[in-house]
Parts: sequence; C-alpha cells; structure tokens
Amino acid sequence: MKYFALLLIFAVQLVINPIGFSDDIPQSEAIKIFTLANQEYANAQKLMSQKKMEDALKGFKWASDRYGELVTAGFVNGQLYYNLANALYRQGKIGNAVLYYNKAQRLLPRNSDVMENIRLVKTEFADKELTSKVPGIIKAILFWYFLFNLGEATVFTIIFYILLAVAVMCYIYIRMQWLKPVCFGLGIAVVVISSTLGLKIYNEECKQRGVVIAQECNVRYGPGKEYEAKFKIHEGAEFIVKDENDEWYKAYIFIDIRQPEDKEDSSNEFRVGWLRKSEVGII
Amino acid sequence: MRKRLTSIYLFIICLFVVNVSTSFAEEIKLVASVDKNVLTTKDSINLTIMVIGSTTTAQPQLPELEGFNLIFGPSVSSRTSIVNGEVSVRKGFTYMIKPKSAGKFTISPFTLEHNGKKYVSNKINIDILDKSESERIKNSEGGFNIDEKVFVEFETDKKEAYVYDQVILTFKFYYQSGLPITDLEYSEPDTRNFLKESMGGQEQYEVIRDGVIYNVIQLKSAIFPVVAGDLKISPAKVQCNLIVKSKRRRQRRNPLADSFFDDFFGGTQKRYPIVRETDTIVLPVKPLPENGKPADFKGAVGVYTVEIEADPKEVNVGDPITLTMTVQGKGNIQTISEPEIELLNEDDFRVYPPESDATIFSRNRDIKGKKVFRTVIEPQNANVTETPMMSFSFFDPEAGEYKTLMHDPIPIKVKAGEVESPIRLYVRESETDKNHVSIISRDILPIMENLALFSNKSLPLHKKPMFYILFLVPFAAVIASIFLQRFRKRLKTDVSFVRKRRAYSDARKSLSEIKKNPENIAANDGYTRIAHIMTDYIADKLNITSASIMHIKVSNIPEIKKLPQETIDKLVELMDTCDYGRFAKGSGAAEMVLDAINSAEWLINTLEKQL
Repeated sequence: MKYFALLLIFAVQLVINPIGFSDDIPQSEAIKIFTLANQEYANAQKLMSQKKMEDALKGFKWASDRYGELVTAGFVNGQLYYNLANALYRQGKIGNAVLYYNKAQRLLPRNSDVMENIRLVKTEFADKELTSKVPGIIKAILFWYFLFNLGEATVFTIIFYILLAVAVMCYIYIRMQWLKPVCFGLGIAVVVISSTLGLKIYNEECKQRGVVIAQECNVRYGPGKEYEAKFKIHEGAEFIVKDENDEWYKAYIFIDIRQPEDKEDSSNEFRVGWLRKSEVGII
Repeated sequence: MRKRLTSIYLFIICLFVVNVSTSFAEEIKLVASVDKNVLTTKDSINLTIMVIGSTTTAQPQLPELEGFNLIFGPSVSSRTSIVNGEVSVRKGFTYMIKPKSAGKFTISPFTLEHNGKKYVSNKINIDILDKSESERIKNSEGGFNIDEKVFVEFETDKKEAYVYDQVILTFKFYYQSGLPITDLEYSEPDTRNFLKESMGGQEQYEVIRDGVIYNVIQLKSAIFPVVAGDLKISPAKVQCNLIVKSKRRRQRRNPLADSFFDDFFGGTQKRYPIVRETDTIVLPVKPLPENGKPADFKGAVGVYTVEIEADPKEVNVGDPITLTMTVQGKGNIQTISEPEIELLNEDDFRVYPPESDATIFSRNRDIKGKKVFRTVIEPQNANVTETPMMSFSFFDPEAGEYKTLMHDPIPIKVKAGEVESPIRLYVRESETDKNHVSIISRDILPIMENLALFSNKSLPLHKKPMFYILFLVPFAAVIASIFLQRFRKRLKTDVSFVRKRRAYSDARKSLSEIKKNPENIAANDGYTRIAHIMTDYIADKLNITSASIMHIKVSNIPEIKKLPQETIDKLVELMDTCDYGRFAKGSGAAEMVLDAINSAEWLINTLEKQL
C-alpha cells in the first residue's frame, strides 16, 4: 500500500512541478520585464489622473511594448495577457484589448477582474453583441468546464485517474466490497472529467476563435479583394475560424442582421464569410 | 341576568331618544312629489308632501289645487332611518288627485308653520294630455316611456383643464323611486391619455326632478390629463334589469298609465333588460404655460403646502440628518416630485436621493393627500449652522399661475467628528433606510502584479510527455496487479504449477550443496542423492510421484520419449551411472561423483528448456 502512496505522491509532484522543459525566455528575465512594465503602467495611470494625457499615452505604449516582448518571446501567462489588454485598451485599441482579455480568460477563467473588463470593453463595440452566448443552464450543469482552465482540468483528470487506478488496485489486493462503489464512482468521474478535458482541448486548440482588431473589417464572399464585401463588422467582433487560405480566414460570424428592406426587425444568425488575416487576431 | 338585559335596553332607548332629539332640533324641510307628472285626464296621481326632519309637526297646508279634484287623503306615513349612527325622520301626507281637463298645471307649494317658522315646499308642474295625444304616444313608444324613468348623466366638473390638472368625472344613474331595478352592471369609460384615481365606492341618494323622486347611483373618479389637446372620454355604459310582474288577466288600461308599475303586484315575474349609454365627453386640455415657469418646477399641478422637519438637529460632521419634507394638498399626489434642496456650497452637505411615501386621505370632493419625502443629508464640516434652503414649485390651475413655496433653512448644530465613536445602543429608524449606490464613472480594473503566479505556461500540461507517462503508469500498475494477483492465487491453488516452478531451483540447490563438499560425501551416498535429485526434478516437472519413476525406466515415460535422443541417452546414462555407483564398491571416487553432478546439472538445464 505504501508503494501506491509513494507512486501517487510522485505522480502529483510530477504534474505540479514538471521537469525537463526549458522556457524560451528565462523566468528571472521575464519577471524583470514584467515588473518594469507594471511600474510604467502605474506611472501612466497617475499621469492620466493628472490629465497629462500625452505622457500617459506614452507610458501605456511603453508598457504594452514590454508586455508584447514577453508575448513574442513565447511567454504565456494570464496576468501578462490581462495587463497587456489593459495597456492596449488605454491606447484605444479595443480589438486588440479584447483579443488579449480573451486569452487571459482562457488561463484565468474564474478571475472576476478579467470578466469585468471584458464586459466593460464590450459596451464600446460598434456592433451589437456578436458572439453566441452559452445558455445559463449549460453553464450550471457543466460548471467545471467554465470554472477551470485547460491546465487545471488536466490536473484534475490525472488526479482522478490515479485515484481510480489506486482504488482498482486496492480492490484487486484486498477485495473489500465497499471499494466496488468507490471504483464505480471514480470511474464515472474520470469519464466525465476526461470528456470535459477532451472538449476543452478541442475548443481551445482545434477550434480557432478570433477577434477583429481593425476598426472596420469587410466580410467578403471569397478569399480575395476581388470578391464583393457581404457586410462589415467592427473592432472587437468575434468569430470562429472554419478554414484558411493564404492571407484569408473563412469564418463563422454570429451577427445581428438587419435586412435593408426591413428596418424594424433584426435576426441573430451565423454567417460565413472571408476575413483578411491582417485585420483580425486569433485568441 | 334579566336586570342586566333591561338596563342594556334602557341604555339603547336613551341613546335613540337623544339622537332623535338631536335630529329634531335640526332644520326641517318640506318636499312635495308626485308619482308621475305626465298623465291623461283619465288618470289619477298621488301627491305626497314629505316633512323631513320631524314627525311631530302639524299637517302642511294643502294649496289650492287648480285643475285637479281631490279624490281622497291625506294618508299619513312616517319613517325613521339610522345610517351610520345618524337618525333621520320623515313624515309623509299623500293625497290622490285627478285632473279635471287637459293642459299644463302647476301645484303650488305646501306651507307649514312650525316653532314660529314658516316652511315652504317646492312647486310641481304637471302635463295633462288629451286622449288623441295619449294614443299617439302609446303607438310610438309602446305605451310606456321608460327613458323618462331610467336615464344616465355623465359630466366633468371642468369644461377645460390643464395638463396634470385634477378633473372630477361623475357618472349618475337615475331611476324613478319605486322602480324594481336589479342586476346593475357598470362599464367604465376608456380614459386613455389620463391618469385615473378612484374616489371611493358608489354613492346612493334621492333627488326630486319636476316633482318626481328619483333614486341616484353616483360613481366618481378623478382623472388627470397627461397630454394637451381635445381629449376624448369614451361613453360609460350601464346595464340592468327591470322586474315586472305581469297579470294573468289583461285589463284595458290607459296607455300612459304605468302598466309596468301597476303590474308589480301579482302575476309572473319578467325581467326587462335596460341599457343606458352616455355621450362621449370631449375635454379641451391646455398645456402648462411656459411663461413664469420656475427653474425648480418638476411637474406638480394642484394646490399644495409644504412642511419640512430635520432630525436630529445636533450631529457630528458626517453624521446623517433626515430631512422629512411633507407635500400636502389637492392634486395627483402620487406623481409629484420632491422639493428642491438648494445648496449654496456643494461641499457643505452630502445629499442622498430621497425615498417617498404617498397617502391619499380624502376622496370625497377631490383627491387630497400627502407625500412624505425622506432624504438624508450629511454635513461635511463643522462650520455648517443650518440645513439648505428648500423650495417647491407647482402650477395652480385655479389661479392659472405657477407658485413657489420657499422653506427657510432649519438651524442645526454640527460638531467636529470625534476620534472614537460612542457606543450605539440602538439604531434610529430613519438610519435604517438604505440608499442605492450610483456609479460615478466606468473604467477598467487595474493590472495584476502577483509575481508568485507569474510563470510561463507556454507548453500546456497535456502536451508534455509526463502527461502520457502519468496515464500509462497507473494503467500498467493495474494490469501488473491483476497478473500478480492471479499468479499468487495459482501458487496457492495449483500444485502441479508450484512443483513445476520449483523443480529447477530445488534441483540446482541440492546439486550445489553436494558440489560444495564432494570429498566429504561418501560415494554411494553421493550417487544416491544425485539419483534422487534427478527423479525428484523429473517428477516435479511432470507432476508425478518420485516412486513411480523408481519403478519404471525413465526412458519409458511418455514426456521423456518426446525429448531429443541425445538428452534421453544422457539421462539414461546418468541414471545407470548412479545405480551402478550406489551398489558397486570402490566406484565412488570424488572425481566421478563430480562428473555425475556436472552431468546432472547439464541435464537439468537442458530438461528445463525442453520439458
């Protein structure tokens, strides 16, 4: 039994502190840049409150450049994305801000600051809410899907999987009847959690979501300027990538459509169209 | 018990007498009425003079009846009624009179002298029709003009009004006294473009018109126009049934004689539906004038007064003072806004939005009520000596002008805040009123700076090899556990498996023991032991008894026969050597025993692979 306990501890240790993978940028260097950028952001915030807008804007730009350096170097962190989004928002780049807030939300799904800022920034969109909303009942039933990020969901899956293995081994060796329902329960938990993990991996890695970062973006019938524009969407609008072709994404866009002949009614539906890659960002 | 009841009765009688005496002391009134004021020369009418307020007066003096003959009378009746504790008494003198000829006549007023005062009744005009005219009416209206006996009136108290002005809408349903009206159903008019406030339930009373007594059911409501223009109030409607008892034997009667009313007594009951609908009322509504509109005017129309109180009047800086502003008067009290608080210096007070509570205390002639606004103000420095000035502006529709009520500041004492708050043993009721927090500005939340959580998550956990190792290891452990447990179980239950598994190790162990000290082992004993080791090994491997091998030739065992010939030859040779060595003297040199051991070892290794 003690061997299993040791194995479990070892496994958890490995998950929490994975070994053998080096970062593209040293941790100490990243912390230094991050701290400097944060200080500059705080200074710019003070300047803004003193109505020195030009200096404040410079400060925000400097901070966003430093955060951007870390992002370009392959550093992935929820705080970094959130701070970068704040700095971009201060510079009036709403589309880019939404892009990085969404990235931050993937890593920090329970963080109320991220949610609040997304909600606030969305009020400044030119278009009506374009993303399809998940119904509240689905959110309540699959709460863990929305509560945990991909890494946390992976850890939970592994922990439950190891617990199931330990319970099965205990049952094999000591044959206690009460272990049967425990194994059954853990088995169901592992199936549910691993399915959630699979769904999360699919949604976050196989299904690409994007945000319009240009002030205005033409949605065209085909991948090229020679194709007519179907309609226009604006900075901050979200979409799901279906396909890509050179400089173009084929995307599903959930839009609030108002037919030209019908000035009263509007309808929400998915529309497919081609967007220029330079005008959008992928979350 | 009986004594007690008697005393209660006496008390009630005393009360009654006192009340009646009180009513006797009131002014009396003479009312003359007839049961119909249009009739033919063949009809008779009942003329009643009612003395209201007394039953002890003399009989009123009958005037000279020009154009009528007195048939009989008077028959005297008296009535006492108690409504809401108020006693009213009346005494009636009824005469039956008959017209002498057709024409228009007037019954002059009755007179009465009582307690030295002279009272005069009303006069009554009566139309007497000749026979041809009465036949025409009979043919055109079925002999009974119900419109004169049941009718409605619908009116407003104002011919024109201002926006938000109070207009009293009155609906009156008249039916001649004595008519058995039932199943009354009232449909309200459509008053869109108006705010409406009910004025209590229905009111019922009697009126005399042209000498005929009518019962009136009155419904009143206050309406407040919300837009300017010619606003329409749609007709009000009332439905009811008139109950008539028809006689079995029809009699020829005068067509204008009330066949309906004469039929009330005897015969079967019938219900005649009656529907009365009013006309549409068009009310011109004027907009509120722009001239002279005060800056603090918030739409109040009516006539109001304002009272303001502050509590407490002695506070520390930052402590709340509740200002109670009571606006009272005539108008749409529900919709009025709070008085304006005029801050001379905005830094002196923090003012919170008020909470209000409206009460209507009169719905009789007008809608009157009060609205109490409670607002909290907090003095911000110790230099403040009085509350802010407050004003309330309204438009007075009767005067046609705006009025502003100014309320002087209320003196207060503000002390500098103490470092330590005193212990509060209770909470004032006014302090429990909570205010909604309003958002001053909207901005994004600040950046995050938690360096403890600042690490690179570039490679997701599920993409790391360790993730797959962590999945494989428990899986492998479970599979291994299954096999291990099966193996352990077989060891416990399968003898042949255990013998076969142990055969090799036991044989090797025994041989190595002999090999360790070959010179100490007597030759005969050495060969015996090697022969035993070999037979035990083969017996274990084949799961048979060692004794059975002793009695048959090794080469005859079926499993041995399947072995390569070289192995069989070697085995037979070794077994023969051991047999020879065991029984032949001087053949047990240590070297020879060692050769036999080596041969046995080779054979065991070979058999282990081949068996």
